[in-house]
Amino acid sequence: MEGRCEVNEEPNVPADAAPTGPGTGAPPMKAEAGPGRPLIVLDKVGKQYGAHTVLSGIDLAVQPGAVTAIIGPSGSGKSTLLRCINYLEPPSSGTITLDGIRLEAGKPPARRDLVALRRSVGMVFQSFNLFPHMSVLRNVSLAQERVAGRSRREADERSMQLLARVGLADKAHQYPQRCSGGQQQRVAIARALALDPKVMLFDEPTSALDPELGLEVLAVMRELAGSGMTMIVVTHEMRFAENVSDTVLVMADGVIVEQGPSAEVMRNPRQERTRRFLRAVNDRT
Amino acid sequence: MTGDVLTILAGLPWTLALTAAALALGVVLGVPVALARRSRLLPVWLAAAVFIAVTRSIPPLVWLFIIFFGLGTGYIQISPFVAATAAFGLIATANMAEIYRGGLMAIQHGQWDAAEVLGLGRIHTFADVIAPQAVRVSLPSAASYAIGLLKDTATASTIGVIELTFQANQLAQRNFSGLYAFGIAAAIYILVSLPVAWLARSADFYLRAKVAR
Repeated sequence: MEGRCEVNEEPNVPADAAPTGPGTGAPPMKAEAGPGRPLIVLDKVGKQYGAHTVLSGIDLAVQPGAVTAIIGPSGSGKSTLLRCINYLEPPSSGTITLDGIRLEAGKPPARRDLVALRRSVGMVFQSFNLFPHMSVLRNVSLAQERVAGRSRREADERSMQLLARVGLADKAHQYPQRCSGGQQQRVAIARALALDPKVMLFDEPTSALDPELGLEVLAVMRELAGSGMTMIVVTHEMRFAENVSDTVLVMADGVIVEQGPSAEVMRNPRQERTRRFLRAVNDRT
Repeated sequence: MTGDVLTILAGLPWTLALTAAALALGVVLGVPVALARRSRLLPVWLAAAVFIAVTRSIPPLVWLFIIFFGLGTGYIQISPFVAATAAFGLIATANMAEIYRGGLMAIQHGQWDAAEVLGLGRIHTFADVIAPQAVRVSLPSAASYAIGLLKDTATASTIGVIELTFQANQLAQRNFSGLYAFGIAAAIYILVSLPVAWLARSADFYLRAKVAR
């Protein structure tokens, strides 16, 4: 444990309340991710379903601690790319290297590598996907006991720390259905963090939430980014992409059309496709 | 009157025992058949699919006769009750397998995704995440099926299982009073079915909240 996501260092997440408002867009203070060894490297990753190409020639390098936002129109392959990174959808071509684990498309991954990959990568879904028949606490503890081999006591203790971190310690014994969407998503984040991942993937984490509930999830994500977690976030939240992420990646039709530092891509996009997308998002009336 | 009711009631333990035994077989053996039905191995899948289709296509009465008169006389000596348990157990297995399959299909795909990214593995995914929810979804159909099975066991009277309908039939033939004897039997079937239906409905209401669909 390198103390990456230790609890209690960042007590600034409001307990169960939305953050101060739309003006909280200041970029988090953190060391710039230097051009050292990238944590994730995608080399010519592609995905096909039969004759239908969803992704092609995706090259990407993510530095440790970097926050990458993936934006783009629906059906552009953003979610598929995210699901390829942790092999939820095995890619059809290319290689993925993540923290020393190298997986090559076309070959079935070694079981050991797949287990290691899943341990290194946490994932948060648009539809939360909490286990509805378990309490919030059990949701966060289950994988710790089954996968990380922690005892019930150790797991519950860690879960309570994480639930406190996302401002939901008081919901530990509720069932997910009794929680709002925003609370459920924060539980899902705690559940993913419980296995101490090196990377967190977010698949449109606020798309199923109404705007106010989305804010409380974004606040947790902002805190996580500030703590140095490596994150890849598929999102339609343009302010998050601009203000919290370091890099923005614009996808359309299964390819990356543009990528670069967030402020640059969001304010001065070079590609016409990016401009068209950002106009559609920003100039709505 | 009381004497007649008691005479018919003497068959109730057999009706209940036959229903319970067949259902227990179905509840247990239905699990591997349902899993086989979802298998990616073609022979396994095919065997399960054929078993389910064939078993459910044959009427319970014909199954009873096949097992009792077919197997029973030719090869091995089996009692009417054992033959009836085997027949209804077989049918219950096929039906419970289909009910479980429906329960598994009703589970939102995100549950599998979540279990997979947490690295739970096949066994824990099934035991901790999928099965508890599938059971909840299956419960109402299983209860309806149990009530149907309870009534189907009446056909076991034809091979001499001394259950409710058998007793009612005996009484009817002694008194020449079909309406009276079978009326009593009908009332007993109703009195047994209603609590089961009620229990299932309240259990379903209670459990429904805890399933992702």
